Amino acid sequence: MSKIRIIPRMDIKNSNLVKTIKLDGLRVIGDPNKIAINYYNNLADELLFLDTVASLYGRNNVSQIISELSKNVFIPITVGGGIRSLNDALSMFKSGADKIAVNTAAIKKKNFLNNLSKEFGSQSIVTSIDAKKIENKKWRAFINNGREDSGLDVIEWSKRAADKGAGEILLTSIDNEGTYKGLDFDLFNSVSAQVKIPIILGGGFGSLEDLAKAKKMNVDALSISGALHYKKFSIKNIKKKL
Amino acid sequence: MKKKIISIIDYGVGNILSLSRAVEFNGYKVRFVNNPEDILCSNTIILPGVGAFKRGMEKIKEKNLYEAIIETSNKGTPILGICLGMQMLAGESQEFGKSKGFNLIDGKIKLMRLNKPNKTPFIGWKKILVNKTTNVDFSINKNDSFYFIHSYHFECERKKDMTGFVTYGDKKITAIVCKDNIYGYQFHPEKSGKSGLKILKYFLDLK
Amino acid sequence: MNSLLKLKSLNKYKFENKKPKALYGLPPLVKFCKKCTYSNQKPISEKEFEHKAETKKTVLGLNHKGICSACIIAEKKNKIIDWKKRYSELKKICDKYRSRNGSYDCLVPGSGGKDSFVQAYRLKYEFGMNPLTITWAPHIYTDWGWQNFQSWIHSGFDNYLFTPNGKIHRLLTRLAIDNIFHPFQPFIMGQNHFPIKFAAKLKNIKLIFYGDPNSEYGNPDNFNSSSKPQYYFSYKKKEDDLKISGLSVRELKKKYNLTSGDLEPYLPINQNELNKSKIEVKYLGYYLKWHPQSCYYFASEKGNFTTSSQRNAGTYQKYAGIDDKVDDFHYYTTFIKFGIGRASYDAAIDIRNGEITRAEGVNLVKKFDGEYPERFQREVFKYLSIDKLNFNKLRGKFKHPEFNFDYFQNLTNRFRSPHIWYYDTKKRNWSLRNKIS
Repeated sequence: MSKIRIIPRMDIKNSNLVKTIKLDGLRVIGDPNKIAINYYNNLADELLFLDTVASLYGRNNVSQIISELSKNVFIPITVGGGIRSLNDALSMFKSGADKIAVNTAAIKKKNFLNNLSKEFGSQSIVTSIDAKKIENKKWRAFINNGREDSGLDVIEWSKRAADKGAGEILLTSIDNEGTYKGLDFDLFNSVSAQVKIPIILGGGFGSLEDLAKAKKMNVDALSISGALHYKKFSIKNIKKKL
Repeated sequence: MKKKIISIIDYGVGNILSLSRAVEFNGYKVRFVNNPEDILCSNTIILPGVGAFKRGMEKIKEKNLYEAIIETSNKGTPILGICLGMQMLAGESQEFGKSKGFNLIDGKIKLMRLNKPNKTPFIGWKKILVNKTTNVDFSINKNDSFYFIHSYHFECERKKDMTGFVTYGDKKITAIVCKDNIYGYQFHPEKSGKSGLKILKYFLDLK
Repeated sequence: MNSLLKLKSLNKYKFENKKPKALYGLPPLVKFCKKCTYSNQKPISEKEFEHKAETKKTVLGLNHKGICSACIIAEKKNKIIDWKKRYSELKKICDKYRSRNGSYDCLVPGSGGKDSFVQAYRLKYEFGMNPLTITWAPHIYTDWGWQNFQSWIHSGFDNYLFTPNGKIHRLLTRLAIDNIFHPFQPFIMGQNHFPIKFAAKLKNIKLIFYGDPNSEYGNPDNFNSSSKPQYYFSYKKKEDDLKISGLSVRELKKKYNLTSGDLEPYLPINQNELNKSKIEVKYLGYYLKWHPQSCYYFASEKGNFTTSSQRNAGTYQKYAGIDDKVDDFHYYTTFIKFGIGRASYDAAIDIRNGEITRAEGVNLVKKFDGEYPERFQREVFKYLSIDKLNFNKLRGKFKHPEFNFDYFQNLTNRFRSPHIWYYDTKKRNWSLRNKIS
């Protein structure tokens, strides 16, 4: 079994790296370029950039950031936030993205995922699912950056998304996001039991125990933000434990 | 600053932007080629590609590049196939029924059947082991790992063509092929960090 | 559409009207602040106990550059104030009042929301005080509101929860929305007036700490004041002349059979009693630079604070003003009366605190302001209905005891000021005459 991929998640607002809690708030951390290059030098496996307000303002600023970054950083870069059309997707790829992450548009537009994977190939399409716990072993998929309930059950939606051609799932626990209280492994297990595509699990990473559990449960990849941005852990430390 | 210009075949498949940046980062100039004439006068060629074998070959033929590539390889021009590009160097693929490749290295493209918990497509980083019988030195360190994303793999007809491989348990999957002037990397050197840049440079530096 | 037939005259809402009438004494010309998303229609804190339907509003002023007083204050907050000095002033006050025998030394009114969490936490753990937290219960607790309230207590505070008589609270809330389209008014009065009266009765708490003076309606009076102005929560005249829900105490007693005792929790403290008690009412936000979003992070990190499950109606955030199912309606009514909805308030605060630019704020207002609060509609309408079981004798006093959607629509339209709204007869909808840009 190959090692779990460690993917720093960078939430971007305009030109700043920000950190949310439960996907709310806009606390500024710093310059995403510097921070991303630092992660690259410290052996991050991939980078994930999400424009936190693209769906509010109808524009994605991350393309400018990765345009520059991709000249110096040679690991896979995934970009998401407000991607609503094939054109939006194309402009992200042209800026240097290797994969794109879609959430709201995938849920609202019936054939969006199908069309994206036909046009660009499944391997470059990640469906991002923000999950909020409703009751034991039940989660709902939220859209518009954790602001609105789509009404869809996460497990059902994951299955459908995989069928529609998504290559990977970015699965984030809204409840744990920004709290460091640990990843939601119940969420992971429930979804991975139903889909065959790789799952990137995120939201709440806070201790090395999370790593041990992730290894045991065969999590494919981890998306980590606060724990890395606030230097509670370094990528090197994390990879040593794996 | 080395003057050699690297030709990257642009046939509408694959992220050539990252690849060109990686080549430039290594100090070389890039030009994108998409017609037979330009291919024939190239002195180093990279064939990129992602996705389905059949579609890739169709696109090559649409642009009328098939013969030009065969002819160029016969001249001894170094050619590097990356990911799907490497797979297209094979004789045939079994994806979506049989499709023919360039047949520059004997072999077949088959679906990877990995044991659990490995999934396909395989997405992730692996260390590459070098075939002991090979005399090519890629200078791969034991700590280098490379980024792979694929569901199909290249099953070489001749073991010695499988210059580098990765292991999944007791299974060996081809990572690097090499025969004379024809090279193939299953992984993405332009996405494999510093190790990737280095192994890409190995090919770029070939005379 | 029934409700429209009841509207006596749609003429005053015609788009073409050159000089539409302005209700509530609001300035007839609508202007927006150049720096934030407030307009000159925004009323600033008033003495709720003098508030009648006809009351002329005191509004936020814009200076000659078109900048509102809330923004001017915010700038001063960032540039002029010596926060170190104020911090040591606070230390001195705490040193003076700190209890030496483990008894409570100050009162912290709050709900367990992000701000009151920070108030209580810092006073206790940073300034060594022994606060008693005091809460005036929401009309209808949201799940997360109750959870945050419990988390607050469990992070280490004694709490006194006062839940007003349910029947009376419902009655007053209903009267408030009917008479002045301000359902939150009785709640605000209770929340404002009860703590001081409580402290006065206890006799050994001489210090009350409120939070940020500026998140309360951006009132310029409070800016340089470390203490809450007495005229907000105390009165000199006769109790019978005080007003709740747009009616005088006298009228409430007569028409609805309420007693002084019933209304006591809502009414301000008498000035003389206040003077005798020697209680000081302070704003923590005067001494400590208050940053609302930081409070959210602080409360999340230290106290397990949780957000609303979805973004609040009419706005983009989900962490402020989330305890009460009636909250959404409150902001809807301000949108109807003043053309200023929840997104306008939230964006204005975020702009002043540097989280977003004005252009972003404007986009947010355009996207979310005035959104109809569907989420808890059914429960809130039930709450506001004068039902047979609980209000048998009073039902006759109401033309329309049941509070339903049609009734609410009709009521809403009565409170639209013609200088803010016009009615498009072709599209059959209401639009703001002046949209922010």
